[in-house]
Amino acid sequence: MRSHYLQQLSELEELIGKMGGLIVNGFDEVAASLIKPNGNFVKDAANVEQRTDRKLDEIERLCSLLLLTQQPVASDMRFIVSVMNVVVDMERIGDQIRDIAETASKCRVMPNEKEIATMCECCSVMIKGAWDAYIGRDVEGARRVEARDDKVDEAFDSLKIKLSERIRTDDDTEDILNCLMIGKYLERIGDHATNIAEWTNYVVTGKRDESQ
Amino acid sequence: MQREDKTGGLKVKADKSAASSAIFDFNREVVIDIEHMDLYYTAFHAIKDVSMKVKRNEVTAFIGPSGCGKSTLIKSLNRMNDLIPGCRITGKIEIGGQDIYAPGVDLPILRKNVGMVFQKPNPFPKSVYDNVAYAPRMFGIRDKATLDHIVESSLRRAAMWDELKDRLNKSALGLSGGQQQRLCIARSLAADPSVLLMDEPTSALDPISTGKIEELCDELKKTVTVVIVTHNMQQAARISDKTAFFLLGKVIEFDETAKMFSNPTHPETERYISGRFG
Ligand SMILES: Nc1ncnc2c1ncn2[C@@H]1O[C@H](COP(=O)(O)OP(=O)(O)OP(=O)(O)O)[C@@H](O)[C@H]1O
Ligand SMILES: [Mg+2]
Repeated sequence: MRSHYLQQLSELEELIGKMGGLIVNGFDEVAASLIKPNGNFVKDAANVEQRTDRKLDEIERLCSLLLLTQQPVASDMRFIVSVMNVVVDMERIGDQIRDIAETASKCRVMPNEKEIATMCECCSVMIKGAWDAYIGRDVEGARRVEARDDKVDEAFDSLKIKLSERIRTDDDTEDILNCLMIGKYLERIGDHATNIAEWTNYVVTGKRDESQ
Repeated sequence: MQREDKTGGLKVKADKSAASSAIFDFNREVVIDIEHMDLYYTAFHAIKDVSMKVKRNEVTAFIGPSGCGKSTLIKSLNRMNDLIPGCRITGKIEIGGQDIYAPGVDLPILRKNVGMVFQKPNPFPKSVYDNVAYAPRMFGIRDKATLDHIVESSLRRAAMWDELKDRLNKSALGLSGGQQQRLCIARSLAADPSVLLMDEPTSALDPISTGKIEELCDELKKTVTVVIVTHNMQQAARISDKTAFFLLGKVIEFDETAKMFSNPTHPETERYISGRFG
């Protein structure tokens, strides 16, 4: 038995578990602050971003070491390849959490469009769902996440229509643009969660989606 | 034919000595066809109901834990087990369309067409030249220029010519282990085989000689069907088109190498290749 190898693999599982926790909680906090900002939310979000960056480094280093020293094959190989991709999506979500917080802090009035609320809700469920599916090798769960991304896209489209109306009638142009930016960040987060879900399929079946 | 020009090896397929016995046809798609083969060493059931088809110009790797029957199977492909008392085979092995266990099969012709390289180098206690010229001479080639040509081209193919061209008359036993192994490969190639069986050919070689033999496999498969036993998973993944995984005398999985190493079908294969065995 390759006990050191198995130990390194479970270390890797543990690390991505931690990184997932950072993102899941970090997102819920920034989403809550859009409704009821607390004094620290910008700093907290920046902190989430930095910690996910550090986890990304750590995980990439361990993956390289595993590839170099253990020549993983079969599901181990698929897992490591997926990790190296998934952590990039995670790191991006970390960036967007920070960006949402920074943008929100510049708003005179927090965006109260219902589309933003819908997107926050969907993204929260999607990030958690993608993470659970990925960690639990749950293809069915991954499929549900992928399906939900359409809702995020729909909400974003309707937000754009609404804001283009408002920009003609209201004079808080800056808030409108900030709201649009936040919507765009959320839409991207939905895409990253979808990517993570798709990597679940790869770990389990060797294919990222059914069309392959 | 292009294949004959390239190899410069020995041609006896249409030779008089072969005319009386089995006619091998190596232009067919399936070169080795094993059907429901069982092998017993007296009471010990070493190979259990193995069936597999090996295609022309493919490199096939046999992998599996020690004692699972890889050497036993590869040796039965050119009837090296014949000499073992108590060894009994049932089922069918066809090579080049010919049942190799049928009565009247000429063993020297079989072994000329189905060459074998063993794990431990076994050069004859003769000069380098005489080792390589052994099979061509056995099949009646006497012409010095032809022999010279075969010796040189075979040594070149085994990536040894530059190393050995000034030592052709020295004893093969004075070579290093890695050199001896490549010499044995050259000796097999000199017979111009259509199938080459190699049982852990690189297990005693340094990375450079190993690399040369792996390159040779790649080169060889243009003209030769190669079966190689290896304990080195990375080697199997690097050089073979198909991989067969054996366990306790059975073929557990036989598939495209890329598939086997990225997404094997059987949990036992997965456990073995990822080092979680036993
Ligand atoms: N001449 C023999 N007489 C009796 N049993 C034998 C003989 N040769 C091999 N065996 C047995 O048959 C089984 C298969 O042996 P074989 O040499 O084919 O294994 P292998 O897969 O090549 O192993 P390794 O990887 O160690 O070379 C083993 O259990 C071995 O002990
Ligand atoms: Mg063996």
